[in-house]
Amino acid sequence: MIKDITIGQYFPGKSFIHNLDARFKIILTVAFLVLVFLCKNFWALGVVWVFGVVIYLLSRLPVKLILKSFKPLIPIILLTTVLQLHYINDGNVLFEWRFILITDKGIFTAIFIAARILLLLLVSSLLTYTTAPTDLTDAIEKLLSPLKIFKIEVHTFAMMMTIALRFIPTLIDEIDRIMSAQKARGADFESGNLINRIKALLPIFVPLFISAFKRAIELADAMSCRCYTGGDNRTRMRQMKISWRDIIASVVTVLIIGGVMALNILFENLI
Amino acid sequence: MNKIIEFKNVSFSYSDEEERVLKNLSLDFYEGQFTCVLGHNGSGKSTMAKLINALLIPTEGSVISFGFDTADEKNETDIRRNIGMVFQNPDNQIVATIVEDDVAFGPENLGIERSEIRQRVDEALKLVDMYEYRRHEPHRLSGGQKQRVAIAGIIAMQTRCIVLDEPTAMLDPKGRREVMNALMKLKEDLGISIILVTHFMDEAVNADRVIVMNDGEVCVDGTPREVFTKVDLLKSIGLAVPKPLELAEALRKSGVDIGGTPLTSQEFVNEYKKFTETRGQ
Amino acid sequence: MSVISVKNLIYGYSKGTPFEKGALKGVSVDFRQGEIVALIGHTGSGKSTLLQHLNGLLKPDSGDVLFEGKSIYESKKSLRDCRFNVGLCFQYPEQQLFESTVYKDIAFGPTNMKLSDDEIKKRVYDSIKYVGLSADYLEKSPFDLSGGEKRRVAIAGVIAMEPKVLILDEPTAGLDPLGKNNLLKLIKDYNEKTGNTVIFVSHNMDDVAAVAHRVIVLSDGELALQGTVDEVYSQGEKLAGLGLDVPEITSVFIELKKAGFDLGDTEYTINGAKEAIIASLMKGGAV
Repeated sequence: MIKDITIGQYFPGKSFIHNLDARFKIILTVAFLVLVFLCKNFWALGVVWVFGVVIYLLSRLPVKLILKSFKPLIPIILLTTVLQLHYINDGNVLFEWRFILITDKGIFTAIFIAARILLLLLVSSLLTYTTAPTDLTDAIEKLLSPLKIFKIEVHTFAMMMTIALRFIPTLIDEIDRIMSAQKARGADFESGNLINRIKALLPIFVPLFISAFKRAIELADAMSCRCYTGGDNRTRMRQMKISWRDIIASVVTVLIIGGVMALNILFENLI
Repeated sequence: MNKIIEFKNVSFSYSDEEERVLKNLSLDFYEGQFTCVLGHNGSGKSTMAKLINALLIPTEGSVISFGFDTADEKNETDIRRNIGMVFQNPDNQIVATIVEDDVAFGPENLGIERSEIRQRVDEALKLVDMYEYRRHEPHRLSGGQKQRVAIAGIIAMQTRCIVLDEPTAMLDPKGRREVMNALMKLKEDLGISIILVTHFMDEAVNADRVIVMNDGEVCVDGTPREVFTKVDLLKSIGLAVPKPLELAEALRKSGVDIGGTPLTSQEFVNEYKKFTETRGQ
Repeated sequence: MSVISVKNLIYGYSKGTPFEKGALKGVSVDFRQGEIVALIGHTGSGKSTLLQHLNGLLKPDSGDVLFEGKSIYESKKSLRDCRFNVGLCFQYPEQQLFESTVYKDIAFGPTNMKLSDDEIKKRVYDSIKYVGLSADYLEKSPFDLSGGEKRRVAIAGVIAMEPKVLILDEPTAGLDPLGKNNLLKLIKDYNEKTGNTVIFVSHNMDDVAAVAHRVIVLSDGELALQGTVDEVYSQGEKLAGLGLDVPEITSVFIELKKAGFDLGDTEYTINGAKEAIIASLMKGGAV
């Protein structure tokens, strides 16, 4: 069911990772993603993988749950892997049949890419797993605040994100409910050709949009009743503080970036 | 008693073609009172609530809230600083993804200082008995809990009046009790004026004043006892009467007048005791 | 004869996630042909979960649901038949309206059943009548109607499938006293006219007393009480112990008993209470 997807959800906790300042967490996550792309061979990628696993262990998230939520992504990863196999034609030929040509280099590359994609997904979802949505939006607002000089409404953007995050679970419940209700009236979402399937979505999307608009109007009223007039003259209850944890995490990340560069130079590059 | 809100010959219609939802309404609300506005759907009671804090502007006449004319856009913030509003759907009024952040939303908008907000938020959450849920995500709360968070959000703004537009319509009995208890506490502990719009007559039993709306007009206005004794009138406009009172009325019609106007089961028992004692003598 | 039997139903909600909540812990219950059954229980007691098993929207971890003696989970076909034989109307059903006219919306279910156009038309006209609206409504947009009317149209959409069992999850939620009474009357009339079983969930004990033949009480995923309205409501203290409201008249009686008045069985209707009080006064007068 739609409810089983946990990516993007937040799992409250008190681990080292949970306690990092959200601004650092965003920057470090971006650094990590860059790091994954910097890896040119298995040695470097191996080090980054170990780093990734260590972060996951530090976050003390329930392993079962994470494995379960990555299950639906397996086909996507497999597909990209198979495509890689097909595109790389140099190296020793292992198998050839009509237009299919598989080489040893193709297999290595495919595995390498798959490992990379999986790591990217794991790390980027860790950000939302361990960071409260409020902290995330606050941090984004802070990080983007220099853009204010270009007259970009950073506060409005952050508020929109907050509201989106707040209403995602509500709307997921709503979709579930509408789907069940239409199924109870005999709606069939699973069979038929593409056009029929798209048509079958109408009984879900029309009520969903109507309800979303209604919610939006009511929320706007509620916000204006609470004297919301935009970001000007607004104070904030929360304060973000940098701690020793953030410093340690940054130093470790920088060291590993250095390590990866060294490994890239020391060993033969795969791609 | 201090007048806080004044309706002066107020009429309202949503558009020119449509019928008037409120018809030449004149009435006042007083400071420190728990006022309950009863009426069935379409009686104009929700429209009246929205006129109080300038979410709607009268088509004719004027509404003066805490000395400010709601028709003047400049007054909007001043009015809403004084009058908070809680709506029917608990999901559609919570803005933040964490309970305490949502309670802080109003004070943040008012530009209150950080440490002061913290204090207000904690106090407000304690008052509605939601302090232990301060770090929870709103969508995991029950309806009654969400409504109490919404009420805390208004308390934290330190408004002098709170208007609630059918806050219990979507709740289960437990949630309704929780919200009603929170409201009684608001009135007693903080002396905030409460205007509760509802169609549940049992919520009106403990009010200081009950206003019954029908067809855009005030139909009855008085203490709960004065209002509920008009059993036939209330029934004729599709409203219910407290069951203990209905029972007493049924007994009276069968020739057994236990006297009094019992609105709650406890009151009924007291009246019945008195009745059997006098009968026994 | 039972239309639906639920056999030892076990269903754990959102298994494996940290928010696990036991929803049904082995519920067995029968629903008989032609009766109106009220299902009560506090929020989270498993009522909605049970309802969604009755037409196969949910599949139990163990246990079975039998429709007219046959397991609904037997095959894809039996499951689909069950969807049409057991009409489930969710809470706030008006939120599921989507078509441009009332007619089309009510026809959605019958169309999915692949009925002939004539049959669909007949059913739409029949069902709008059952919910107490005139045929003039059929060409209107459902979104132009009042809240109460929308709800009736949504219920008509389920009735139009002519299910042998009609299930309504909190049909009166959010309605004012007038709308509520009309809807309860609708349930009663529908049951009398068609002889079909109706199962509904309610939090309002007075509503339940007004229409139900039998009451089933769920608590924490288990069957706590069942019986006729009389049998269940006479155990007012037990209901209160389960965190449920008792009908107001019942609470008057409980209070009277506490105060030392012996009035016999606990009553729950105005009339019953009146009779009991008068009877007790007569007896008292005779002594």
